[in-house]
Amino acid sequence: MSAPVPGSADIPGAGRRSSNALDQFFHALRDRSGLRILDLTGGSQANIQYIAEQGHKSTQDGLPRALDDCFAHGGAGYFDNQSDPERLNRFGSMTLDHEPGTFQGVLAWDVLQFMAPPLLEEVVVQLHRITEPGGLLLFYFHADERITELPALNYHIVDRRTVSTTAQGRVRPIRFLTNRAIEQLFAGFTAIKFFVTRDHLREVIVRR
Amino acid sequence: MWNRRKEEEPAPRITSPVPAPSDLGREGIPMSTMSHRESLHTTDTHRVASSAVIGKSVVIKGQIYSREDLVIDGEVEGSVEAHENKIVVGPNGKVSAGVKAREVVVHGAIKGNVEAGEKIDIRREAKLVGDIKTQRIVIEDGAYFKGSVDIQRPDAQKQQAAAAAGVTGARPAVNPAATGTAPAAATPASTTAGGIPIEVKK
Repeated sequence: MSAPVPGSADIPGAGRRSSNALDQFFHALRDRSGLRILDLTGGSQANIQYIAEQGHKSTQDGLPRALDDCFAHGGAGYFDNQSDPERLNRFGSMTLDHEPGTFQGVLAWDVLQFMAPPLLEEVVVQLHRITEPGGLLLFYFHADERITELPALNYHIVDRRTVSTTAQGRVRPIRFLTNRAIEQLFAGFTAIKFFVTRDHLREVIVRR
Repeated sequence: MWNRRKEEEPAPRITSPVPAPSDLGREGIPMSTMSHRESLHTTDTHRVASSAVIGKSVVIKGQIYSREDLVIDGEVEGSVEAHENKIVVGPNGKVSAGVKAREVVVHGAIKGNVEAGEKIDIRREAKLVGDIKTQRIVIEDGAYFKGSVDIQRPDAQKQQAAAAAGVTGARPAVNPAATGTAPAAATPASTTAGGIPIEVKK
């Protein structure tokens, strides 16, 4: 967890990138207003502003910060700590504690890759619980198997098709997930759509 | 792990009556136990030079009404209101309270809902857990915020005020994003060039 933070040019997924999944996510919601959109970045002014401009209400939930606070320090290691019941309880009290079916859209970005089972499956269950049937969830997955750790990335919506990424200080280990593993993860959802991109970041939209 | 949220704890009981505005006007109680210049960022310092200050060793439980700018660097539990003025929560400030002000700047921690008539500014080291209503929001990268944001347009606020005053004919705010577009479901089965979505339908 003490690895130096690489320059943004060296960080996979960092910088400014085009996102077809983001485009489709908001395209699907464009004829509706007043929707509740959950953003797991946990405090992006750009995202709040963009969501408001679309006529929706945003809710911020700092899941990455909760991961760091609960699992990054001490114990047996970042992923092993995610099996510690005490840490898990603390994590559950910090994030995703929303009422069932609250959100019509969830911008989850790349948070799932920083979790190991059983936490990973439990977070997906919670996302299913708090999303309204028919609601959409947007995920990114780093597709380069050689990457074993990344700094915390904040995703900021520049416009409907563009996302900029800034790196925060803390470096976390990540887990690589195959397309098949991603499909199985969302087996309880209605549909899943993969977007092939030119960089090593897979984009996925899941319908609740 | 994810049990239902605990029932909202009841608001702290207020043991003293709410002071009338005239009382506030003649209030001369010094609230500061510190120089607020020593702990606030320089960008705020000049603006709060004439503010009331709750120092970092001060703990207040109850309701605070202020008719001047207020700097909170101590702990406050209850509610804080300064409708026409600015509230700055300093780096040592811990506020477990609803906050209402014209403008709110957060360097420290707030646990409670915030209504900022004009603007809320959440700085890098800040931690805010609660819902926000405001016209403008600034969040520095690195700040922690958990809660919903209700961006209120100035015209909507005027209409609300007019409605509250019993004026008829106030029209609801028009949502520019909700005009004239055909329904477009995110058709899960579609495959298009460019975006190249690959569909796996359940």
